[in-house]
Amino acid sequence: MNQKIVVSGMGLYTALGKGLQTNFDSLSSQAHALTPLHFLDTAHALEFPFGEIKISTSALLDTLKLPRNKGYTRTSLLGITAMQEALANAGIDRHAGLKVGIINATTVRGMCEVEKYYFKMLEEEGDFSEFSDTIDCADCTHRLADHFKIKDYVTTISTACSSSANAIILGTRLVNQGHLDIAICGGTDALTRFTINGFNALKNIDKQPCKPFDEARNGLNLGEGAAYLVIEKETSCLQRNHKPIAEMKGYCNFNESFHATAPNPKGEGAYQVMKRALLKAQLEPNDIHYINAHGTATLTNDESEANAMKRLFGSVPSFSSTKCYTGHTLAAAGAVEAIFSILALEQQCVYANLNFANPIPDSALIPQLFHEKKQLQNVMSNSFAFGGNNASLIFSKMESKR
Amino acid sequence: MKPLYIISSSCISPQNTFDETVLFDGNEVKTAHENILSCIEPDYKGFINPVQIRRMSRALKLGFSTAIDCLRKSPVKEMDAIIIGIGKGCMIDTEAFLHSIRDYNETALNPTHFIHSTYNQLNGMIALDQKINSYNVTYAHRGFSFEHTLIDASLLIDADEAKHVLIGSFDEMTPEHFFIKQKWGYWKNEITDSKALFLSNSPGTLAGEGYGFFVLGAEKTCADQVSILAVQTLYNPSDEEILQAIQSILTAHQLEAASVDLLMLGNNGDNRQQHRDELLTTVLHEATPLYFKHLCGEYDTASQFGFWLLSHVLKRQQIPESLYHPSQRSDSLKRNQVCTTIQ
Repeated sequence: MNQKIVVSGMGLYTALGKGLQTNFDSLSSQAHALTPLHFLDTAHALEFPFGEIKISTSALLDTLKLPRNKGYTRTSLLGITAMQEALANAGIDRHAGLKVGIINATTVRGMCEVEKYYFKMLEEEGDFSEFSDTIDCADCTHRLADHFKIKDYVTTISTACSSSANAIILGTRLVNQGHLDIAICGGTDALTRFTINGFNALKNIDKQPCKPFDEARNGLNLGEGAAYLVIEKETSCLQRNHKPIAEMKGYCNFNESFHATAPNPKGEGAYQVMKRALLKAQLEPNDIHYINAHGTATLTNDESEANAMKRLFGSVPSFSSTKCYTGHTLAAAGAVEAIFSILALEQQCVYANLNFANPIPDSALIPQLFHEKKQLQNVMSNSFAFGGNNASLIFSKMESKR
Repeated sequence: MKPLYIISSSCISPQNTFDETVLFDGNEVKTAHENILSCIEPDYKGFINPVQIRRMSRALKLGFSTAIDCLRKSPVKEMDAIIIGIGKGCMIDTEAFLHSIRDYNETALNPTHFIHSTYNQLNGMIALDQKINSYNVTYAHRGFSFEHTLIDASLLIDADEAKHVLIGSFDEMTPEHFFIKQKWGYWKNEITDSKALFLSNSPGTLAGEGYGFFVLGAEKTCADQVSILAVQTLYNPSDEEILQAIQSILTAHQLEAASVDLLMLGNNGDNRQQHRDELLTTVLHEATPLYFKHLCGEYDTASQFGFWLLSHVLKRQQIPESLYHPSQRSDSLKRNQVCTTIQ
């Protein structure tokens, strides 16, 4: 990294609740938010636990004082709520004179609404134009840009479960190379019948709360959420009298080209992406003090990720998956977990990996089992996706000196 | 930004662009069928093994074949990144999965359509087949999905993080998607011939689709290589912001407005969206306006087709008759490396 790039603001909305404090409190009291579905209409509502945000879409609209019948999807509304906190947290309510961009990520787009109206649109007369543009990923990004009056740079990334980690990487590069003063990076995904049925067809969903890194793990739980990080140069942050939260120390985006939906069980892709992120950060493996693992609790991911961590770190630092609290929030997961990692740095603590009993025999790794205080200098956050699209991020304490 | 050299390219479109010479040597132009311009499919056997041909959906087969063809044409084989832009992604698969959810009441579903509807599927397939272990990302940003692949490639090359990048984009049109967008007034009400699109003076346009890939490099591999000097996107710009952006690009490259020879316009024949053409032709007053959407139809990543055409026009120093407005006559092309694409 040519210049010191920092995170100057964060905001999120997950099943654990709205905002940084609520999420951190739930994590530190080891309280997950996985329940049957209440708001989404699907045949699977009671079959699986979900990380559903406990608010209806119309209540979301009311909370934000936004009009009905104007095409705001749940995906957009979760995004707006999270970005509001991130901007306030970064102290950039007014951004006059600065080049500000949005790099958003989503996979479900407006499908949360489209799937309700799709066959009506096909088969019935009537005006369904409210959601005419929501079938693509750019819709929620444009809603965010318009809501917060940001127009210097607006784009959308969609690389499945690593989408928002890649948004953070792109924002960092745009700031580092001088194209933006401030990059607001993250992602948003609402729960939909479309994704629930997709993952269920892949036989990837556990009927119980998921068990990351456990020998008896049996799949993931789906969740929804939105999370954004504000990224800028340290000099820019200090110039506007704002205290940086953490340093964006290193990153890597790497495709392992192994299989369309499964990782290499030996963890080659996960190993390479973590190793290259360390290289970018100019850190050694033993400089990493906590890993927020991708840890979906699917058979293949956890085996591959555990093998990769063992190979790279030898003696593996404290690690846990927080998907057992929020569910897998897909495109938002990278940003949600980047924020969790940074909160761990700020609060000098590590999160408990819930529902763990026995290690995977091959790697025999035991995750962090209790929430506890710990001295942390550098933390890593992993995001791995369909198609081999892997990403790894490293954040460091501000006064970080090796 | 450093120049991005176009080392190779491949394009599958509703025209015979997979065989690059046809548009340039002949005057054969395929016209729309019931207001839809559909891609001409190649013989997939040359690009995909028989087992995969059966498994892959149409969009993935077309996209994959285009990418492989582009890589085969490139003298450079080592790619440092794969960057793909998609407006709507694999619509056939998205629709099929929506139907199966309803038809089978959310039970016993086949996951294939779900997997294929994921935006980054083609990225993964190309990486897997070509063993390209590298930076790999998918943009899904409507009308600017292709432009963001150019910007990202430029960022990588500027930062010396890549020497060669495979970029591309695609979108497919399906009967169902056409039908839905028809309801919202996207297409012409009257059946319109491609050649008459710019004379129609009515709302709506023709629907289309297309697939295009490019190998971009930091250095030339031949003397007369076409290069990209600048790329900029503007979100909901005012006329003034458009003029400012054009001026700043020209200034940054020590060019006068009068030194631009060609202006590729994104005009799609919808008479509700004409005023930008006047703005652009007024400021770039010496440039010959060219048109392409009557050849490919309208879709999110259509600008990629215009970009592909321009790169070949510059390379061959020849303008196919079909790119002129029906009311224009052809003119000889002055040699210049500047081109502007406006969507």
